[in-house]
Amino acid sequence: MTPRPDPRKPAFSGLGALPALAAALAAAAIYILAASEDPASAFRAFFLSPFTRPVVLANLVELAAAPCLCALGTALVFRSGDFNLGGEGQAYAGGTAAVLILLAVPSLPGPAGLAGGFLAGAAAGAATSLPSALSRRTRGADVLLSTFLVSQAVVLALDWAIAGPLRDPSSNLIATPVVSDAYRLPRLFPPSGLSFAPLLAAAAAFCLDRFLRTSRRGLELNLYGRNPAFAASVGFRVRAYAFWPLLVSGALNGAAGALLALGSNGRAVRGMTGGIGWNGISIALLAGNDPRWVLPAALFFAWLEVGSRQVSILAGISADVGTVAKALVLLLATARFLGSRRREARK
Amino acid sequence: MTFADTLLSDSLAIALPILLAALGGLFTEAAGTLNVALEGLIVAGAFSFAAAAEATGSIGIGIAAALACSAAFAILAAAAADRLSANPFVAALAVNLLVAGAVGIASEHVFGTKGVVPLADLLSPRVDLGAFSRIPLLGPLLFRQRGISYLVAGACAAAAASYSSTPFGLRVRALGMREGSLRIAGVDPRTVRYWAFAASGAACALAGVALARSVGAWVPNIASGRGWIALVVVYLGRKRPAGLALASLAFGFLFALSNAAQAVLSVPPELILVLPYVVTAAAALLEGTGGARGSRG
Repeated sequence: MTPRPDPRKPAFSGLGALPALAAALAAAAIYILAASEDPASAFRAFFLSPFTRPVVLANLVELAAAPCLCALGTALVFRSGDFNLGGEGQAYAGGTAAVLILLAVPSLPGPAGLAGGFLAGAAAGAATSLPSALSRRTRGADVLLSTFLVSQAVVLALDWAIAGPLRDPSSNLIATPVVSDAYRLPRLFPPSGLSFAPLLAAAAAFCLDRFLRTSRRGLELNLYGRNPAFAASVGFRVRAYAFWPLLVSGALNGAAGALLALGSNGRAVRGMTGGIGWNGISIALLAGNDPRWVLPAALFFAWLEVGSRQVSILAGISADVGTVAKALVLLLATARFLGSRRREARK
Repeated sequence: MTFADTLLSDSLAIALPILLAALGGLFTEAAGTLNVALEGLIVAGAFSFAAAAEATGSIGIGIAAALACSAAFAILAAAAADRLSANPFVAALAVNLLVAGAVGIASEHVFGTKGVVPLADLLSPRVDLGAFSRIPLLGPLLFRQRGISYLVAGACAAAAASYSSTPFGLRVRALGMREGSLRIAGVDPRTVRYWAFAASGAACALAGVALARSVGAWVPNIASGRGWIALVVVYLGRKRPAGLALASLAFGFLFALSNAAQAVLSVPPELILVLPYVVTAAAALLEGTGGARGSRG
């Protein structure tokens, strides 16, 4: 396969990400200006309305949690020098597995059931990434293509299963039956959907950051990602580093799927992941693959999503403006602008 | 037409746009930077064709618009990588997303809806070559396709010939194998890479035109994964035009089978569509280069 350009080199993070963010917001602003009859109220709807009502803000924070988990796993795989393109299928498998397990055991205590559901989701996500991880480890096969292909097969198979044998015939939705109320994520701030999911995402980000920056294995993984030949020559366990990050990423994607399923839906809905795997990639890149910046980046994406939904409802502007803004973030997320180019030239 | 006639004829009609997009992808893969935006470029081509042809009443202008639009998006991905040092793979993923958003917005402005727009004038009629088209099996397969399929087949042949036996094709392959050799020959590698991306855009544009003309409508997400399948075809076909053709035909057959399955077989169509992914995934998983990180080059 083609030698890939280095995905690990964090293009920028934190303040360095400003050009990508600015371009995205500028594009949204220009479109709103051109398309709206009342730009002032459309601007307010897009940029400010998510912050003016506590319920909307709480929903925004909740919306960031699942993509944040996906992005953490993606960042870990990026650090090891690979791409995990299978987030979509891994999350779908995780969400469906969590629901199926909880439908099978309907009378556990709520917290135990929730924990079991998350574990099942993480296990299913990891299982979906396992073939790619194994072939990476034992045969050196490229995971970019294999993660995507396995994920696509899983998505199609689950689309069929949820519309067929797993479907709840009494519902208009193409979805499985609803799990017991005790297994739904408890709402901290009703009527908003805010649950403890964002805390879980923040905790995962903290743990991953500590692992990557302070543990020996984390530092070795970083070095392996930057220079596998060197890592092998000094005796690092390179086969493990070609394996575990993918598996952990699959598990995090699976847990994110479980969050989606056990959150507002309480069931597995056909197509429920809705691009979460791709969003995870964008968020990881925007954060420069630095776990400390993943949650803020996920919140920024959630803001774009809520803002574009609001502007579509309140001002009649196409909600796709948010998609364009996200695309610009992704387009520029790994770009290096003049300053760093000059620095490179000087070097 | 019998069941077998329809199945074979549909297989070819479905395979041709996939093959053309895959040949476009092959140019970029051979040039050293696979363009993973094929899915988006097909959608961009189909939409700009539908919009321009509907507005002007001219199929030719529609095709020109499609070529220009998809090539421009492809060049955008190449330029982000070249001018801004963005990761070319990520930039192409971004172009996929950008097309999805831009087409959604444009569709609301041009057609007044984000949904399906029937455009019966754009439907490409089936040709009928009289006696030829009545030959058993071969007749429907080769002589009773829609007009656009012959155009796409011609474009596939031209792309394959250009890849294998023109100076441009040679330069593209040289760029991927040994960039320095191009410099020695006085050719600017960057220009060749831009042209390879433009070629992938143009190929996907025609694939998009074929999809729109075969249903006579603009359908959101008209590519429905064909661009991703085209990428798979590049690898499954071992990066050789003849291999790509075989792989595309296999996918075309499975798609046609899944369309027919609902009516005739008792297998759900989604499950038949899983099959090519499983086969290709198995091929990708077994592709060994000996040890961790071996394939990164």
